[in-house]
This record gives sequence, C-alpha cells and structure tokens, in this order.
Amino acid sequence: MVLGRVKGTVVSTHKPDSLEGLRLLLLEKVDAVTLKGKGDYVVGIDSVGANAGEIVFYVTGSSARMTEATKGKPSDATIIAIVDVIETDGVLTYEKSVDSGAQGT
Amino acid sequence: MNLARMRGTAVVTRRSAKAVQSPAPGVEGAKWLMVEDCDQSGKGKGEYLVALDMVGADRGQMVLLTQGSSCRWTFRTDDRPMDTLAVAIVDQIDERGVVTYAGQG
Repeated sequence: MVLGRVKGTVVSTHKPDSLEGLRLLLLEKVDAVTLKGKGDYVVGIDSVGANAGEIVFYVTGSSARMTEATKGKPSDATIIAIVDVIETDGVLTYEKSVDSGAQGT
Repeated sequence: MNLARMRGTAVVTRRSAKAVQSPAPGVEGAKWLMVEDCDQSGKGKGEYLVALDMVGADRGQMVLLTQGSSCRWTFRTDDRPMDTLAVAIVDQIDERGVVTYAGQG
C-alpha cells in the first residue's frame, strides 16, 4: 500500500457507467518520514470517504478491485484507509489533527 | 519478493470494510507496518510502503515483502484489497558465501 495525501477531486462526465457515483480523488504520494509531497500524483477511487488534506493509503493493480465499492469495476488505484498516526523509529512523524480534515494542504 | 526494513507503524480507524482479515497469530487487530525498501545488507533506500503484518515483525527487523495480486493468496487476505504484505522475517542473508545481513536473535 502506498501513502498519499488527498489534494483534490477529479470530475469526469464521460466515463463508463460502472464508474458512475464513485468519487475520484487526486492524490499526491508523500514521504513517510517528512510527510512532504513527492510531486508524484495519482487518481484514486475513494472507498472510505476521504477528504482533502487527509493522509491515506491506497492499493494498486488487481487488489484495487477488491473493495465493496470497486468490485468488478475498472479501478487500478483504490483508497482503503485514512491514516490517524504514523510512527517511524519511535518518533511520531504524523498525527491527524482535528483541523487537517477539510483543509487542502 | 523484495527486502525491506520494519521502521514503524501506521494507525488507522477509518478503512474499507474489506481492508483486512485477522492479522498475524497472537496479534490483536490489523497491524500496518511502515517498511523501507532495503538492499541485501539491510541498508534503507528511502522508499517507504505500508505493509500488512503477517508475521509479528519488530522494529529494525528485515522482512520479506509480497506485492501485487499474490498478496491475496493467503487465507487471511483472500479476496481482500491488499497489495503489500510482510510475509517473513529475515534471519540471515549470504551473498557468495559472505553473510551480508544477520538479524538479532
């Protein structure tokens, strides 16, 4: 699973019927220690209700079709979890704050 | 299968209902590891992934990662959206007869 920050939403009208009603989110991959963006973006389908600014992790490839939201759908990147806390080498590198929710960072 | 160092953990409350089955034996709840890609001597490469812990890895230990659809070929992850598993703890690696990595204990 890859860590990313939700940067925004992607809107599409011309898409397969099977993608109707699914949220497409713009994600930027982040470094796990500094939480800084790597400038590398990907579009992921939301299965958890993630908001802009939140740190999430997503699955890629065929595993992206294994959530209830994406079963049998043409997704190859699906957000499966919203991260509350990250700890590396005993140091808290990320802790979700109350106001990090709806803020685009 | 890639080598990685167990460097920390991520805590998650909101996740896909299918995101995980029961974790490593004797561990309560799913444990999400922050793992750093490493070489055969254990030297980190600065690239992190989130991996589901299948073995009860401790910080600093080298683990073996399974990635992609192969992750679903365990009883605990069958039909689930998982694409990175820590499936084994590495005790020792030798390269042309020379030990390049030896874990503690």
